[in-house]
Amino acid sequence: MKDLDDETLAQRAGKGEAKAFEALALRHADRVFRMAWKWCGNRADAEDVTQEVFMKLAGKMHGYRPRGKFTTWLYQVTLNQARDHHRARKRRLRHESDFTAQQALLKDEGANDENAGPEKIAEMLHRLPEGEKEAVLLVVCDGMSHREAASVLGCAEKTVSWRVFSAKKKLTEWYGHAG
Amino acid sequence: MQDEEKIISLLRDERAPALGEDATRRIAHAATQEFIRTRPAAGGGFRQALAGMLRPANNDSGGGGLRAPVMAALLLAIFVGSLAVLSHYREMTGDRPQLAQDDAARQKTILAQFNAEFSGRVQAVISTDGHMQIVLGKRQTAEAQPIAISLAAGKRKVEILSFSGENVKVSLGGKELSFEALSDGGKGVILTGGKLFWTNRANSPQSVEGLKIRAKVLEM
Repeated sequence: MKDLDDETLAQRAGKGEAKAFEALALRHADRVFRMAWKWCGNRADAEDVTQEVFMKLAGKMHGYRPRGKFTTWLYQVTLNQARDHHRARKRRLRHESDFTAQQALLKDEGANDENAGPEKIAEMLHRLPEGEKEAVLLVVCDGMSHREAASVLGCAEKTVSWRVFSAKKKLTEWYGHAG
Repeated sequence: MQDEEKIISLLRDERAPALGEDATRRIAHAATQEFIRTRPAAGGGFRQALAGMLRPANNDSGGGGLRAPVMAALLLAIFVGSLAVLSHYREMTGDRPQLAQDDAARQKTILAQFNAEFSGRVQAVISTDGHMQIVLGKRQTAEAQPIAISLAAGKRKVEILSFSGENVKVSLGGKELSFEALSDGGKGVILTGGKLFWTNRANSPQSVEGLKIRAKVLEM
């Protein structure tokens, strides 16, 4: 199974082959986790999102028909799940009356776990509008071409270019002010 | 410009921690269990695949999806395709029933298509000397294993696609046959009913009660 490419494994999984699905999950769990971590900014949420992504894939893989690269679809599912998870978390926070609990969560969100490095840039990344943040995550952090990112985000290539440009402008401005 | 370069460098910096081997295995295992749990049973694969194809496109639907107006044309094409394949069976001659390996995929498809068309109520698809009959019953159990059976008496032949546990009634060479088709859970098939008892084990006779019989489990 290890020698097979993603598309072959995905097609086999689509036909019900559990080993093929497991091989895909083992191969991509770390990739999904890293993307989720960059989106969420903390390990606990990123692990939750990773788990949710693969549980979702488990239900969606049956009858899988390739319409592009498997990883493009995987990124789409990951970003959708990260968004959903984040919104659900925000809703929970809104209904949370315990102020200290909120503070603890917010503190945790900015903590960046064991990689306490440049918190400032991480915090600024999370201040960006969702579309710009995702464009930056895919293009700048993950090294995707604008075209690939456009197919993941389901928008035009020009839109990605614009979002990346706009995000860089904002980040540079905020970084300058903060410095 | 220096700031921008620094920001890009910080963003590119691989700061995200690794998931770790234990967590990777735990997540993959849980998802695989869910994959197995939600895996469609016999006949369901085609139905689910069809549903996936017809699902409106959205960002995370693996099938991409066709729009609803295509549905009628697609179903019609499937139906016509099924009839074409079945007519091929009808034209087959010779007294030895044919269950070639490459037929198995087509047989599975035919059974799955009809089963999807009739909401899982297909007991058997019987093709007898140019006449095709679909036998409907109550909704089949999800785990039912599909089985292909060929019976021949002289030049007369019946091709049956059914599911394990279903009772099949056919008329062949002036004889009325009624039997239950059973899968042993592996590749074994047992046909039993009245004076008929036959299995597809290597040492079992290929001819019983004047009938040449072949049968196999169609692995889904």
